[in-house]
Amino acid sequence: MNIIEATNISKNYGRVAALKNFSLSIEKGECFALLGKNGAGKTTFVKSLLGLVNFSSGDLKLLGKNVGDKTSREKVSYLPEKFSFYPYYTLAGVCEFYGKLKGVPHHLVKEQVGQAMERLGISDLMDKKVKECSKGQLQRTGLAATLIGDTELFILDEPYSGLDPIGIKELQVLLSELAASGKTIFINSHGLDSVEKVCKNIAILDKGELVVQGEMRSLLGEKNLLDFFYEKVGK
Amino acid sequence: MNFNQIGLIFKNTVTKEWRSKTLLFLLGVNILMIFLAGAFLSFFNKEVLTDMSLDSLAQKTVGIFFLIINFWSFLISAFFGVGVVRSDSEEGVMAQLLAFPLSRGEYLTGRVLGAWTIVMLYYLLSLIMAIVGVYMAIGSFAFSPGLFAGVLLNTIPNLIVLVIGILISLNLGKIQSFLVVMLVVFFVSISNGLYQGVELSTAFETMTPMRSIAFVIHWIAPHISYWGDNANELIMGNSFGEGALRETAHLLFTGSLLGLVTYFFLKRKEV
Repeated sequence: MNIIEATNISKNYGRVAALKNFSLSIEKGECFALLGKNGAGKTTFVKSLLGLVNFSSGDLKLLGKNVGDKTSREKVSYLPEKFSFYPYYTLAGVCEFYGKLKGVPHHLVKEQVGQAMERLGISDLMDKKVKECSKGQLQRTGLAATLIGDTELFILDEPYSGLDPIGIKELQVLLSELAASGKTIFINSHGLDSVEKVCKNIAILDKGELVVQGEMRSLLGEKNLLDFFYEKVGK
Repeated sequence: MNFNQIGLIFKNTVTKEWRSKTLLFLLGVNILMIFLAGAFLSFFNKEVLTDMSLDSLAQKTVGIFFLIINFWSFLISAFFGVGVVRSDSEEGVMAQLLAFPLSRGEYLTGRVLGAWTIVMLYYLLSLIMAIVGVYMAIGSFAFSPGLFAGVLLNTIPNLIVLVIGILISLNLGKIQSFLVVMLVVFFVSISNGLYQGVELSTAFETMTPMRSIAFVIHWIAPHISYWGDNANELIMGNSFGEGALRETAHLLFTGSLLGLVTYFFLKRKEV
């Protein structure tokens, strides 16, 4: 079964076409990156997947279910481009709240929050308030929140944003581990270096249209991802 | 509907909204008012009144406190209404919440109930403060079922104003929404005032273009004035007005309609 199945998705904002007959399918266990310039339509596609924006036409399925059905998101974890929460919450409080929304039984939430924050190296920040945190600490919190609960698909919008080099390296390792354990990872990112190290499959989107999709190594040949990306959409 | 999800959003709303500085400010003003009125009442009781029963005086005093509190009640409801969903949208939290297996209906229900609870708590706290204040001033305990019922009844127009606030804030900024809510409540109240208890035949006899708009508003919008006025009557120890059954049916119909329209606009909203 395809985890994501998009068929001829179109989305317009007024007269501007954000997605034009965009089709994409991602199989279970893939580590996939959707690439494109700013305004290419990547975030619109991610938001369409999560039912946050209404696409104009086409068919979009998540874990075999129509994206309009809230149960399609039961095993999905999402990290938005800019993770934020109410300033007076503690980081552990944010993760607990998200864990409960995800459906984790209340008696297991604290334990899972502890493990997730430990995994992201922020266990010493559990009682720190959102308003006191740096962007990087918030990003790690958002990533920790995605690890809570039973997740089959991780949708990560700019996951490397705000992370320092150590954080980027640690996230690369984490994503590789998740991919190795059979989880499906969908990354929307400009961090081409990291994508090249972690993902096996890519698609490039330009002005709402699919430019290329496939197994990264076979697409790149001798080139690196940056050169390949520039060749496809740089002009 | 998943009641666990609604419960989580409800608790989150209460946690989020009780910190509101406006609410704390209003509570502070309440305490000040009650303190000043209590001091005045104490003086009045000792120096001027000799033949009025203390119970009656206490009852009337608490009633007057509440008429004043009710006067700005819709401001509080409008304030919470325009902020409770709008702030989620502005801070980017709404997209994060709705990416969970949480329907927009559950989200809306949790937010409305949470904000409404805060408004009700504000009222109950005001009631307790008023009763304690009066007791300290004149030594008589002023509480009646009518007073309590009036306070509870006044939460109905508050709920309506709150939902109107949410509906308008889905498309406008906070300040614009607040002003528009004030205008909407004003027009609904005027319409209610013109047509409350007026027979249809009489209404049509005096119809003008402006009155026809008021007539439509009166029939499709919940009767805020009817419930607010009757709440005040109960608080002042008077009896409930006529047509309660008809008005309850009208409230259920128009309230559901308002809820459905709000849900429709939230469902269409892109976050």
